[in-house]
Amino acid sequence: MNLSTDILLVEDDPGDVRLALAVFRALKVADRCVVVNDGEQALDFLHLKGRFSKRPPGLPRLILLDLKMPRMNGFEFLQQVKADQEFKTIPVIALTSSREERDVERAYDLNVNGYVVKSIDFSDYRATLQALAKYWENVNERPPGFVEREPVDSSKSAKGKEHPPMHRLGFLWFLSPC
Amino acid sequence: MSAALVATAMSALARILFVDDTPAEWQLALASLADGALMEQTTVVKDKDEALDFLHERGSFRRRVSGLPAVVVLGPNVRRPTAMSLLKDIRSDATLRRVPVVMIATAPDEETVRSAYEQGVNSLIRTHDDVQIRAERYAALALFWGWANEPPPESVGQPKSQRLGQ
Repeated sequence: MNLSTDILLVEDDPGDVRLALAVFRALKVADRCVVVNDGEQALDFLHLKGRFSKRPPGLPRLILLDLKMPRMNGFEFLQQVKADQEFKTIPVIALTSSREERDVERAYDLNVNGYVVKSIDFSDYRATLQALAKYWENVNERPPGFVEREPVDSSKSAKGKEHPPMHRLGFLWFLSPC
Repeated sequence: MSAALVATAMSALARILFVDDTPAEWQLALASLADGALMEQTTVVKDKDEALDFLHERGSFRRRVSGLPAVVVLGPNVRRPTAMSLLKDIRSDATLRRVPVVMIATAPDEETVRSAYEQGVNSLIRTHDDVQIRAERYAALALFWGWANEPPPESVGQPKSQRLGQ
């Protein structure tokens, strides 16, 4: 069975990546999360191109999208995803430090599914991520194209091997089952 | 999330419009948060016509506080064609098109999910026979859409950041 990625996190700030992954691990809601650093890498992931050419096929259950990134920013990525017949049903949540009205408006105009502002207050931001992850991982219906994973033992993989710790491959991180 | 932070979040909920004609369902939705904040912030209407009256501030809602809700929730007892029709009306109306819409569906198949997303629903939830699970889903829905999510600027009330005094 090909297993889909739960969350594709498109974020270029290492600190924000670390916080998001810590929350996801603590909640045990994301068996697998892939992090990319800009819109071009995210499109490569969706299209199974470049370094993602050998990844298992399947669409992510959720895309968390920073808006201000180098190369291809979040708005450009959002526009392309929502115009693509294959990808337009994937929920995309903007996860951004911008609370400017024009950015909120533009994101909704491009059919973003939700818009979450990164709080400057750490506990508030963590709580916000928790609310986000619980809702989109546990409550929202999985989109077409997502392949459900078999339940896994918390400490063993399907083949009975210990799960490796989180790997860092350049800027690509995999979050193994918690 | 700590209990104190949950309480803060609940007291800062933005407005929710819940569309469903079955009292038991919306009473469950309203009761899913113990402190009653959801009840204070939620308007329940029974059908598409009432929902559009509310959104356009007309009919029995012509004197309501102006502004759009942070989210419109189409309950599980709204017939699917009616839900899709209301969704289409919202997305094709220049004044309403950005309002987040969540659809709650009974046993949606893949085509229903695909169609709902293609028509512009923000989120789709599968209802559940177990009342406790349904209540938990309503609570999670209210927390994300009523608190964590930044609604479009035309929504009633202040953005989350300002509601929390940041």
